[in-house]
Amino acid sequence: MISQKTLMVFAPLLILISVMAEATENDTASLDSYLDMNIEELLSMEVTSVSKKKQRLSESAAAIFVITHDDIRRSGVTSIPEALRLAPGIQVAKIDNAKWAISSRGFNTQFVNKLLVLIDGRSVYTQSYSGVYWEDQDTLLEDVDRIEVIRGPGATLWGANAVNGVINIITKAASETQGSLVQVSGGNEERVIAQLRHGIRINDDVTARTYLKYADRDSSYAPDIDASANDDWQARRAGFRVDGGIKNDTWTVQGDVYSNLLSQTLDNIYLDPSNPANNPPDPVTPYRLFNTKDAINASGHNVLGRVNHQINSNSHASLQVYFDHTKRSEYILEQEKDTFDFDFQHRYSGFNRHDIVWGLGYRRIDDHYINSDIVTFNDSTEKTSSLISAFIQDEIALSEENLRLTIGSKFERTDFTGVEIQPSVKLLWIPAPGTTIWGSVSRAARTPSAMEQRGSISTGLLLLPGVDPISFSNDADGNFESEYLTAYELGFRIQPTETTSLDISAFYNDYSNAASYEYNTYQIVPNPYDPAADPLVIPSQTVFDNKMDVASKGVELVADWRVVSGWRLQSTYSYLTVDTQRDADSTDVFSRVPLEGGSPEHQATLRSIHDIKESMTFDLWMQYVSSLDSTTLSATRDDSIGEYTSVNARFAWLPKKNIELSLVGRNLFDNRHPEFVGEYYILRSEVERSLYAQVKVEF
Amino acid sequence: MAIYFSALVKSDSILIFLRSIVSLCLTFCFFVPIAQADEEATAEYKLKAALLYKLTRFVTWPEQEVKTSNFAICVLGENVFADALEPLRKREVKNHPIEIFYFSQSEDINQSCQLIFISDSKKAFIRQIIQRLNNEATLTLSDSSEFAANGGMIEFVQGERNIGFKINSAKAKQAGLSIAAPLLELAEIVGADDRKSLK
Repeated sequence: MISQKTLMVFAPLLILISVMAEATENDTASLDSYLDMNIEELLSMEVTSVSKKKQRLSESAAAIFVITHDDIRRSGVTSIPEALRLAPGIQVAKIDNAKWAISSRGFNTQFVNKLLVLIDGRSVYTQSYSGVYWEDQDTLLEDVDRIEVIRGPGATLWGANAVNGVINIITKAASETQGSLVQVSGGNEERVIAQLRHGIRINDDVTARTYLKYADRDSSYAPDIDASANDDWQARRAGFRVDGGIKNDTWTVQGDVYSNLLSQTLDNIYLDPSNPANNPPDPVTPYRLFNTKDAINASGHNVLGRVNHQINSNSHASLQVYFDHTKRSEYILEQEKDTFDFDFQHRYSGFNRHDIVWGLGYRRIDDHYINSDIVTFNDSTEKTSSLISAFIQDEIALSEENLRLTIGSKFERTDFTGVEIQPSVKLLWIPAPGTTIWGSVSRAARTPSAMEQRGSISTGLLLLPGVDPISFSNDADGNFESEYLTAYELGFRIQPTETTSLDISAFYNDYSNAASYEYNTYQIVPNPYDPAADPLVIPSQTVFDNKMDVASKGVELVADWRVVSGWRLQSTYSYLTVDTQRDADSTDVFSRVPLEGGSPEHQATLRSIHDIKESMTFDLWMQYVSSLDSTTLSATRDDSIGEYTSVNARFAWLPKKNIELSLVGRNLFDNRHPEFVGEYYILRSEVERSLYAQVKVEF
Repeated sequence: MAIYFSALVKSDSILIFLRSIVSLCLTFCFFVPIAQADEEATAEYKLKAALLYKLTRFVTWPEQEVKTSNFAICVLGENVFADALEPLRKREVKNHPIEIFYFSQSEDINQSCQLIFISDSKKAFIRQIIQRLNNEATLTLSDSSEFAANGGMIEFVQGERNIGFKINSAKAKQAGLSIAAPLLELAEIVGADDRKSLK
């Protein structure tokens, strides 16, 4: 196994070598061979129209929004989580400087488990608690081709836990990122971000690139102590990509390595009284840790390979394999994870009016945990789990391609649950070119995380005079089941004129078997204040259970208007309400509040994208997020968030065609504001106003 | 890569930069491959680029249009050619050096185009666009279905295994363009009344 350090040293050497080995060869060889033939020969050449097989976004029966490369660049965002604010129906809330709570259509918490996130086909969703460590997911944003944001269950086709949505981050092909790029920025919050990339053409069929990125970010503000939240972080990353192709077959190999050093301030950590190391307890704050700085070391590396083979004009196959290693250590938990994933897909359109896609997948995850007082994994801290999946989908063209019925299902088997069957039916109608009406009904399952299968979290401590300390915990009892969603969706897209478009989606989500926390164990202690009275019955343990039903509904809207050449306006709006219903025998008192109050009822954005002249651009981006009643499971913490409006602007000037100077301001009219409160162990922090200047040179 | 290099050395590097902004799909149709990144120019579009170039030999533009010294090839809508047309910048049509322009909206066309390729992404607006070009001596091409029947001049058609084309010769004549017989023989001739039920 190549160590991270070796890879970090190797990457710049790779860049150096490729700069020296570069040849300015003539690349027209490929078109020239076509131009050497005469028209008759060209007309008799066998070629498959692959474009017909790809599906137009505007003609898909799902609520999709594509964040383009240009959207990312012109918004001035410096990370993938921040870029997601551009999409409707997605809630992006910063918990502290390096943590985000990001979800689609509700269920937003620090540990979101209903959103599948993929980078070039590699899942970055972590099984330990279910969720994504967003601070560890990064790449050169210049090399991101687009981010596809699909709200709603992408269960059929995409995979495990794509319950509320799928985010698909797709990077550019190596052939599109040729030459060198140097990008350096400095500011008050984004202290330094330095990015280097070099792309070369190895021969007619093979292109490659490598990159290096370093980022240093300043801490945010902690209102509880009126001082810095001590959550600054440094991130280092390098990666490569090689693409090759022969005729209609293509292959790609890519990999990244990263090493991040993050800080957080722990607050209100409960120490284990039975641990001799914690005794004797602090007289002022017995068995509790407040305002303690903690360092998080996160690192990882991954390699992915994919081959696409065009078998014939009706048949296309794709094979993907990846390996992903991540390691993270912080006060509450140390974890190491190795993932091996194999994915095969085949597309067949030989049957008249049928477009069939089917696939098989296998994933193996090796987990290793080192427990702490706060988080422990029972049974075994080393575990191997595997996931086997298969899917099939048929898109049937009823009546002349204007009416399409898609039926499909995904079948998934994890070690912990049986086979989860996740079917979906979609109907798409194109009454006129550019106008689409679609509807779908789908079922999705969210399988238990490692925490829910065999974990235990310490959630509190009660000290009573004369009585042993009582620890509160939330534990897995091995009975947690998958959560299920039946989603009903409807959508409408129209292009009233060549310069305007409107996209509306509406949904009703019906969740059953949703996660709840049920009282399981009670401690009976004599009443220390009145020994003659009845003993106190204190519920000291809750377990992960599934005694909740949730129903949510909402609407998402995107309107685009190209006002004049060089000036475009885009507006998005999202509406969401969530209702919960406990089962009759449920004792859960925690979940309802953050479920119903953790997502904003309204979100809206307005963007103005303006090319003042060819070498000067000015962009304005305003965002409104309505208030949140409660963002954590804690009943005692003040975790409500007020509504906020954020105004962001970017000004760019190109003194030469290949040099861009830009100035970006975020939260311009707002000194600072909170967006989300993390689960109890982190000091609350607020997002501050930020300004940065950037130089980008391509050569 | 060498394309970018040689282009940067030349003075038309502004166009490369413009093109890279414009070709980012600002229209409303995108392709959605299964979790893949974009590929470079496919064989299909390299072939269409070659065909596009070759058939200019069989077309004659009216005398007064030849006042500009360059031959402008314009692409309107999503850039399906990727980088397949770029090598044509080194070539000429009837002794006029080729210039290539990419436009995402028809309002943006600030250029007199001798040849315009309209992407399938503009399918909903083909009739309006052709209407707008009615007074121009511009050869209109597309691979969008029913293009020729809707008034387009040359339409690339995907056959069982190969590519063919349909020509609306009446429309070309109207614009003052004459298409040589050998090209007409290779194509299926379509008239404006051959329109099937419009979708």
